[in-house]
Amino acid sequence: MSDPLLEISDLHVDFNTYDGRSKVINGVDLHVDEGETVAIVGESGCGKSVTAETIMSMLPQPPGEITGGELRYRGEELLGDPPAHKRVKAESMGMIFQDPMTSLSPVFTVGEMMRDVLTYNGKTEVGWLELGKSVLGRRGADEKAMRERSIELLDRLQIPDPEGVLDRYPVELSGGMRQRVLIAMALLGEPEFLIADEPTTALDVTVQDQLIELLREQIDREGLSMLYITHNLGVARRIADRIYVMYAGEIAEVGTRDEILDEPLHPYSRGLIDSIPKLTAFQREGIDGLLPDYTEPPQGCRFHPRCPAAMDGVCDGEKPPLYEPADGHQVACYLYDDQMNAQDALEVAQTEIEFEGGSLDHPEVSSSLGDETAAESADRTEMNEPTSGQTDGGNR
Amino acid sequence: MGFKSYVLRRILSGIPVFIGLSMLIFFLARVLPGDPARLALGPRASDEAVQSLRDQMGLNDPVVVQYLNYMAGLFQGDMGISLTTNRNVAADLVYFFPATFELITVGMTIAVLFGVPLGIIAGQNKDRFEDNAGRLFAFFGVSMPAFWVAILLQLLFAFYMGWLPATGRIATAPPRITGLMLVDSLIATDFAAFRSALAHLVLPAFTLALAPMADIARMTRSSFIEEFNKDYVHALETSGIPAKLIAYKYVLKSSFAATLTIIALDYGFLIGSAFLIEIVFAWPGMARYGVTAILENDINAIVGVTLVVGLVYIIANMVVDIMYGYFDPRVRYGGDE
Ligand code: SF4
Repeated sequence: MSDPLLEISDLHVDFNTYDGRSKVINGVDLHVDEGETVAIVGESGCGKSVTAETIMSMLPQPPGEITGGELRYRGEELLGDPPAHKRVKAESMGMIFQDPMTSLSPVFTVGEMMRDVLTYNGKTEVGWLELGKSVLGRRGADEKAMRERSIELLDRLQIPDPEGVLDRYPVELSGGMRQRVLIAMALLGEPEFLIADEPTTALDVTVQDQLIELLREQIDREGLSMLYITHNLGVARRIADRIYVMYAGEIAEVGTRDEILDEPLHPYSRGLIDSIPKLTAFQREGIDGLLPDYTEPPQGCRFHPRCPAAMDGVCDGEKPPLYEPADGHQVACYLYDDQMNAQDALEVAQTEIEFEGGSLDHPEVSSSLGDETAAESADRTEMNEPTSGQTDGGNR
Repeated sequence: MGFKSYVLRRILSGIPVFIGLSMLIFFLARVLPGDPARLALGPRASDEAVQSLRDQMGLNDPVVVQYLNYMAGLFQGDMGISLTTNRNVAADLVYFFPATFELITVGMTIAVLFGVPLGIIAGQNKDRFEDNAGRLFAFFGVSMPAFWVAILLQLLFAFYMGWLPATGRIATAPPRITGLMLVDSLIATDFAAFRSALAHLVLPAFTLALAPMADIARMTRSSFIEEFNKDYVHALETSGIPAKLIAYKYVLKSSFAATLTIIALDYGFLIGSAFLIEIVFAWPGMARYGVTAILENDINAIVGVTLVVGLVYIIANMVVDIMYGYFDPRVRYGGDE
């Protein structure tokens, strides 16, 4: 496999709060290969958005502080080099935000924003004269070409009447339409790497489905790489090649989509999947408790206070390393060790991890699959078949 | 709904406000202690004379009738006779108001031209030197009494330096057309007069501008900072729009709405402080006229002056609301935020 497009290693991010220092990201390793879509799944507050903010250099500092680690894009280290980070971000990265209602400027038309993206994309500086012209709405010679490009993109995102939408203000568009416009804005600059931060959460389920489908199409069409952040395993399953399960600022488990969904090893991953309502019987099992307090996180494995398989004297000692029972399938848990093969590991997982009745107290995770009908779900599993197994993006 | 109908609605909604205001002012003036007719005629006038003046002024009619008569007159440009100048109040106002209007408008222009950039600079350098300096300035700007600043400026620039005239409005006035010296002198293409009018304006207008300037700078600063933390700023940034463009095009336009509100409030407030400033600078505006009217209980003049002040308030707010709709489409579409 070639070098990853984006690579984070041993990232540490602290937040200074009134209660003290929170280690919000505690040694995260993550990579996205070219042409690959990777999802980070976790409860809100697990640090997935902070990871995205670090990549996009929009972490509020203070209170945030990157205390260690590296971020490489095509081999170039960015965390220690803000100008390079800015440049790479402007040239190669794009982001789709969570809330379509607040992520577009309320006081300019869609067309105006898209025009500015097309005009200035990739530039980090702009002169005062140029600025004045833009404020006064002076159009350049290539105005028409830009309009056509915008219309084409909006059309591709199945926005009805794209021409008319260009002259409208965001306030005149529905949530779903705004989210499409946001996707269009992110794609306009022709990035090669996209971050999507829960872009469908604010929308209702049918719109969500359409949008994920659309996003997938665009990603495939342009051959983009994407980091998709979500708390919703159902969404991750539909869009991701690989999934990172994140818990309390650490990576709990990494694997291909099928590994994570069908053969989860980490107790937390198993808990997450158990808490998805079953399609047959709506009986829920899951994990008790909430995310730990970051200022005084539990010693050792941060999950141990909630873990049904926790071992005294082991799990509360040192932070568990990442074991790799199958190539590329890594899990941070003392139940496993490097000697195990995938088969053994799965056996351990099935025998050792038993959730006692009671359901997980985080409704947002559990709502994931319940909304789909069985037929839809089956349909989708079939559709996703070709990408199962080891994924390196080549089989897209 | 388009911008035009929004503008129309705003203008129409000013009418009931004006009517309400006129009622309030009119009735309040009638309940002020002291008999205007007695005051006008002096303590030694006979009761008959006072009574006949009251009859003549309509003061013996029921208040409602008086009000209706007054409003009927108002539409024909008749605001009653002033007891101090013996002229129609409307004529007096036409004579005095333009001077005040010119003063506060130039004052407000100065306040906006300086206040907005000051606020932006402070907002962009939050908690750094520029911001703290701006805060200090704002603190003094708001808390120093205007008449005191006026005297200081007069001392400094007029008496010690001799750069600017201390009092008055113009050396030799151009033929009166609008009553605004700057405009009239330009119409007459009399540039010496224009320069003189400008020189006379600088000190009082600047004094007047100080408090609203500080207000505007503070408001611009805080709304600028607030807007800068909004999601769309990040979104635009990651779509590849340069930071400078985001700051001066996108953020400025959104945050200007808050500034506009404060401008409207301050514009009304300026008329109030203009009363003091006009007296310090011997500016021949509405202020002296208004103060005399109040001291003499010159009822028609009081009503006239207050009505004009109120009208300026209403119009300033209307204009700002309309601009608000221009700057923020959510307002005119009855937005959802
Ligand atoms: S390391 Fe221990 S506490 Fe942590 S998940 Fe594994 S078994 Fe549970």
